[in-house]
Amino acid sequence: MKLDPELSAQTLREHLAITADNVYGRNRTAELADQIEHLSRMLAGVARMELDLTEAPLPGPVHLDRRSS
Amino acid sequence: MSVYPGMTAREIVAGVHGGTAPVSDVIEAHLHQIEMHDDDIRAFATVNADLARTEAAVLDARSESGARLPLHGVPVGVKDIIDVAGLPTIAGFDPYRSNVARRDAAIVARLRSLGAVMIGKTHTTQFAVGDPAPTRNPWNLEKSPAGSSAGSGAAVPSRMAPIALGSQTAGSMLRPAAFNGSVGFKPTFGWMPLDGVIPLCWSLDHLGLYAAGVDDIQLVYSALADEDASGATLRPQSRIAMLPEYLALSDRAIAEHVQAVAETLRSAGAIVDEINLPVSFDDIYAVHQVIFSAEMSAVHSANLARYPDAYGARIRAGVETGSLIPANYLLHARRLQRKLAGHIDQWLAGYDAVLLPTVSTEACDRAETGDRRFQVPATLLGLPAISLPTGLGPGRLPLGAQFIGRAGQDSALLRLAGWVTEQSPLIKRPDLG
Repeated sequence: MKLDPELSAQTLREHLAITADNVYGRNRTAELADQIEHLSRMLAGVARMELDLTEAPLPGPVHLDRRSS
Repeated sequence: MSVYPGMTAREIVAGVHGGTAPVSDVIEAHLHQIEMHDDDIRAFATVNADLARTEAAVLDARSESGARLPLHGVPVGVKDIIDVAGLPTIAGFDPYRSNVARRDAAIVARLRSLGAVMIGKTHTTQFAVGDPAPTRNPWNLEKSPAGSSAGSGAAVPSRMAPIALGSQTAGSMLRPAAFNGSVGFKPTFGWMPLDGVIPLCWSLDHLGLYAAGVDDIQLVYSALADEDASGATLRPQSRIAMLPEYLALSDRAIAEHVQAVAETLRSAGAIVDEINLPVSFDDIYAVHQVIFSAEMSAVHSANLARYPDAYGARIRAGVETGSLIPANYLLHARRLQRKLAGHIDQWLAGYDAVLLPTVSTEACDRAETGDRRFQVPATLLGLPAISLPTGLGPGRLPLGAQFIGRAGQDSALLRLAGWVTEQSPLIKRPDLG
């Protein structure tokens, strides 16, 4: 499974309940589900923010990039 | 001059230079303080008694031969993800208990060359993430010292070291400063070298300094940077932006305290505007969390596979779930990091600093390490930030006021912080009994 901001928390929890309890146990499944739910919200937040095609990631540390500009 | 634990770094240097405070006495006083109180506070993972005594003797000999080093004889606590030659770098991770560093991290080597003495390694949450360290808050042993730089944040107000090194990838410098009542300073991203430090996230990791007062931070910063950052200066027409969005998310006592600090600064001549950042709190936090999770997973996945049972529950869940983030989301977040940094840098040109609470609450219970959200903007954007313990809350626990400056303008921020503490004095350190 890959994360997608469209996935609901309920879908994620159902998926994990089926696949993860057997591997991790119920407490760990809950910890993972909480973390995935959090990350899913964060991904949705990031996806909402638009960028121009020309906007690149930082080539290096922030301050070095600023000092050279 | 008598030598005692709780001396400031400036007092120690003046005493050593003046011949009234032998380095050996300074080190013994601080080792004694650790011995007396660290069973309760648990700030130190490893105490460097023998090596520190040897270094003190060497520094005293140099002093007798006329050497006057900028940090001559100042004891420093070092967060236990940073290498100190001859001591283990455990990082809160049991398999690393015999992981003895063969050489100093770059920042440690630099401090040592300036005359500082590494007195010990301070406890960290495991690999500087979220599982609490054994350290306790010196104001109330049942309360959290925060994380991840828990031991460093607590060692300074406990008078075990006048200076301590910490790190911040989300809020791990500033939050322990607020909870423990120390001054915590996180410089501009990249300013303090990370060689010899266990990484957490390459795009976000910073080192920083703890001290009891701004003047001690200025002393160490000036020595490291070889430029004078001392003083207490308010430029004419200085403007400070106070962020209503963050005040609204804070406990009432914290919000009222920061507003009272702002009012004091206004009365003393600063212009304080109530205005929000041009980027929302939620957007900044989302970008940070995606980068943090993905990079932490990249750093730790292989090690987690090797030592699955040695990892704490929170970092383990974070590493496992971070590996689920698609590459395009990480890159989108990294592009946004640059865009937001540029946008806010331009906006900050109109201000000398931004003022907000360091944390939204007083120190929480020890099972948690506290709310990291308010420390994230300075981390994500690589901006210098300082937390000042300007008051006590309703639980008689320290409250922190956070000031964020422009990238690369660290010494201006430190001088402004010096001025702030003249108007709004810092709380005294706790009485450990």
